[in-house]
Amino acid sequence: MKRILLIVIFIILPISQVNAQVAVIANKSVQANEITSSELKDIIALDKTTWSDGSAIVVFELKPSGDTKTKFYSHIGSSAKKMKKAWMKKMLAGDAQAPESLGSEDEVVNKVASTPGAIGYVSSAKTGDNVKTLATIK
Amino acid sequence: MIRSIKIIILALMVLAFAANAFSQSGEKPLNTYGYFQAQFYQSGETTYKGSSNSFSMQQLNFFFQKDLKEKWSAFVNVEFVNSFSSDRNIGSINLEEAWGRYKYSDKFSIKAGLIIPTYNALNTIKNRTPLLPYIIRPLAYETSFKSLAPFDNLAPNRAFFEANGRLPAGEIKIDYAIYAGNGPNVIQNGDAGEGQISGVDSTKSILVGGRLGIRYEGFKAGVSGTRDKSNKYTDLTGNEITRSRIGLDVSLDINRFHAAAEYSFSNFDVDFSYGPQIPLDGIGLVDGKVEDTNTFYYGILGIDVTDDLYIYGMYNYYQQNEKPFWDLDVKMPSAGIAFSPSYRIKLKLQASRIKVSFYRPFVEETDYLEYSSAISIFF
Repeated sequence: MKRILLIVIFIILPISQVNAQVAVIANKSVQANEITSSELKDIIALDKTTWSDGSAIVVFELKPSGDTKTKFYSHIGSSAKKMKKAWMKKMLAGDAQAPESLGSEDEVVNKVASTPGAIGYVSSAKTGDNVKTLATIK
Repeated sequence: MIRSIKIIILALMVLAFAANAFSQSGEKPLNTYGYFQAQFYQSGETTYKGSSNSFSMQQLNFFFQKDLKEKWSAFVNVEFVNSFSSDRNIGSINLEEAWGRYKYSDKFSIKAGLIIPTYNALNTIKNRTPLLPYIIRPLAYETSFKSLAPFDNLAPNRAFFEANGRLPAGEIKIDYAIYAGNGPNVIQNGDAGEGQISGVDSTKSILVGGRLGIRYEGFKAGVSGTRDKSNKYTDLTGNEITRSRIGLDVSLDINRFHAAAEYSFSNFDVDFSYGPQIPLDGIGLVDGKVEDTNTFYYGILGIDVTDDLYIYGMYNYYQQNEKPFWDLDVKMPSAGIAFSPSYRIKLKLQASRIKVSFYRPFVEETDYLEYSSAISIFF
């Protein structure tokens, strides 16, 4: 019985991870209600630094590697390494600083909730009423 | 001299250590970071089969960036070149950039101070070695080859003011930049002459220029231009000669393939209606027709073999035609590999053949082979 249970867990666990959705979350002060993958790429690459109302965009990055991060970067047609190069280019030109990297998804949610104009990404299960969801990546 | 260098280094250290103090006072912190590139290369002239090995700390740059208040920021770039040592009296320290910026939005920002102006794709990042896979850069930007030919005629190095931005037009984005500064004083180099202040670049004209570019997904293209006057020549009434530059750049990224090319042309508009021209390089009075043009282009084809490994082939061509004094060209085919185990680290290998051909005032050809290796670190 134990063996069957273990097998079921080992089968279900990876499937549940693969199917985990990623949410692009923003501070409630942000007027936008949805965002395209191309807009999102411009924002994460720091090419777009203000919302349509002129307020500053503050990006928070998820530090740990994992399915959430991979899925997010795949959605915007990039990779974490390519994006680090893009941030380095911005830094070396004096245009912008690399986004703050946070150690857990809970931290990302809390920072986005408390910072006006903020945007970040976490797995959908982590989102709450204190932030708004701009996109869901399946 | 040595005392002032020590004061500069001390000031840099104080700035670096002061970063925490600023952050504790509730202001945005002073961001300090930088990069260096060290290179080891073997260079040989094929005609005489002589070769030599060289090592240098090619560049060490320190950056200081601070957000002063909402929409306002400042940026300073200090560069140590060629294994700088005040003890051994080698290399140099240069203040490359120091500017303040007001960024109204992504569509419009304005910078003022000591600026490297936008020209073609590479001018503003020509010295950012962690971004570039090359060791010997495209010739218009390769400062270590300045003794071969006046490559700095091809792109502007300094401006006082620049307005730039990016205008979205659907999926296409339009980049623009316009700038102004003073025309460079090519005679004043180092110590000030009588009645001049050292480090103050006084000329009789201003530089104006700009770039207009478009980008769509992996495709980028742009056209650049500048107009200024240079005191390389003056006419009999003491007027400096107008210099015009035009540049074109294009690049394309498709999947793992990368292609890029640039073209730059500069021309001194020597007008004989004022009478004969007097070059200031000591060659003397010239009664015949004077032309002074510089032409440069390069092309690169590369492939990301993996996320960490990039392989490329590059071809450079430069021609200086300064009738009746000089006529020469430089051809440089090159190939290389760049390996990045982390985005902060770049290991580079490059092999280049540099062929310099003189056609006037004498005919001579010199052929070099250079094998270079370098490490570039962003910290």
